[in-house]
Amino acid sequence: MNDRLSGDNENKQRFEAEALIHLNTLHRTALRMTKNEGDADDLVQDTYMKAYRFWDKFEEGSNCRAWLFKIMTNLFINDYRAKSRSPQIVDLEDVDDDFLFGHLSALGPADNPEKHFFNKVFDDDVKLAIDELPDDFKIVVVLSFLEGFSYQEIADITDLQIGTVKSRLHRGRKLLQKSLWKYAIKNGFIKEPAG
Amino acid sequence: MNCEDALKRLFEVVDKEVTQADKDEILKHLEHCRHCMSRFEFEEVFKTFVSEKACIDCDSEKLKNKILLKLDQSRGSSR
Repeated sequence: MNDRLSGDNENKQRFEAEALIHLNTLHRTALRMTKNEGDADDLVQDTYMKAYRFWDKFEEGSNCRAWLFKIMTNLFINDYRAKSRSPQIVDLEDVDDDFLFGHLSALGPADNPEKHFFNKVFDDDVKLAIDELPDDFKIVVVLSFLEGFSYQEIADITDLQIGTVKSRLHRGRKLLQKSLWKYAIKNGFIKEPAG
Repeated sequence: MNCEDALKRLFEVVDKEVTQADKDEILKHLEHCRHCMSRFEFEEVFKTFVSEKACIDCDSEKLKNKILLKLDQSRGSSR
């Protein structure tokens, strides 16, 4: 019994030291994925409970953070996504690769519209633009932009081909830029050129 | 390398997914092409901008306590 208890304690300590230290980054990604605090809390808790159940399957020395993100992304896709109703089909026909750059450059160099844009856009608008991305794009954008995972790591986390990761990231970028441009015009930071 | 070739690799450079040799080759083009240079710079600033604005750390203390409590409960029930 004493052995069992000390084994349990050791396990718990190892879990806390290696897995629980990633709580904050999982939490912020969960907030972007689920778009609300209650679901984000539940998603992160479910992730840790599952991780703890499978803790003996985790290979010591491998990337614990990526392993946790894989568990959370799977849970989100299978259990949580069904609840949210973000649109999954997007039309990007009218969005050029250099959408935002092109639009800002077209305003002319006089008052440095790029600098103006980056200084003015609200934090909340950026979060909203991410939240509004269809989930398929949002997942890869968050994993890349916010969490800094490589294409290969994102492919492992999401069980996607690396080419799919790249194309979703590309489309996600375009959608983000399109939304942020719209917010900048709506908030009056940028005056849309007439005609 | 021309503009088309450079722009094809644009996001791989921004996402730090190119080898140093590839990066050097692309940078050589950028040195001579102002348009590509400003586009690369813009996309780099854009990525940093989005990550900084959206990456504000959330308060996870309460959640941490909830998780610790749940872990303790699950251990108790498995005994």
